Amino acid sequence: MKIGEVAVISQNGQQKDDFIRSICRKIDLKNERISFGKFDANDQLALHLYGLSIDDQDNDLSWDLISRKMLGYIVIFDWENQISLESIKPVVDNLSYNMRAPFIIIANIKEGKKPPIPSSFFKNKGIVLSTDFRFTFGQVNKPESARKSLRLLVDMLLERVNNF
Amino acid sequence: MPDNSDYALRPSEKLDVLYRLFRGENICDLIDNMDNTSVIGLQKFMWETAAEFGIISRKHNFSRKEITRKMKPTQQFQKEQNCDERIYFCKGTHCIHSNSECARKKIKEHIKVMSESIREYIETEQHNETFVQSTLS
Repeated sequence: MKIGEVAVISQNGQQKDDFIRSICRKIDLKNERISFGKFDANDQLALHLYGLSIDDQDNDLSWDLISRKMLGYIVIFDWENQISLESIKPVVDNLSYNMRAPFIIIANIKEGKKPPIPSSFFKNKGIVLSTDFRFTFGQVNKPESARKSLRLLVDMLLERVNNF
Repeated sequence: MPDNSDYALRPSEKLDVLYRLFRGENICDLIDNMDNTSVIGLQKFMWETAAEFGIISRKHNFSRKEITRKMKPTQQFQKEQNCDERIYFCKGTHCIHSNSECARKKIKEHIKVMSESIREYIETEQHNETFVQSTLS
């Protein structure tokens, strides 16, 4: 079986778990900082999602060790919370400069709220910030929304293949 | 001379710009705390974003001219600054290393126009979305 690995990163541990649950239906394994879920596309292909929390006090995750084999990264922050935005910034820069995989930043919108801009600006390919870096809005606890973000990541991977 | 890619903002800076932009906050204030390279990166990113949003909002009718025509003509800007350099010298990317204050002033004005254009594209799309929703309901 072929396995693709995706890292799901958030400051708020709940958001990464919500995202993994939205895709995989359940969390298979969980400790203080890492959660794990798997999605079997068929008997030949599976996606493994690793949820990582950014800890304000201890931002020493060994990205170089964790990240080498990842297909891509999904970084989540709370749109209404500037502290949440600030916390992901070093991670975003780190990933951008040190990793070659594509990544998506999801500004998570709370239940009952709407994104600040119409969906036509981000629904197809996100807001392109560079070849490997897209920004989008979403609701990570909603399976349909989480799947859209994951599809965006897959599209970015396919674009890379097409560009070779 | 650095090429265009050397002026790219860091991803976290781009994120900051979008955060402010979508909240209707002032982008020009960011310039005061940026080094020269980042200022040019900001100008470039704002152009890319304005063009991308313009294409989505205006579709085939989008032209960069609809943004540039809101900007102060270079001749007028140079006159106001008592600058007698040749007109094609008056680019932020050129003067920012020799006369940073003047170049930043010009870039600030341009970024203000681009921010306003982006806000306009967002409002147009919001209006269209509301119209489609009300037509469908």
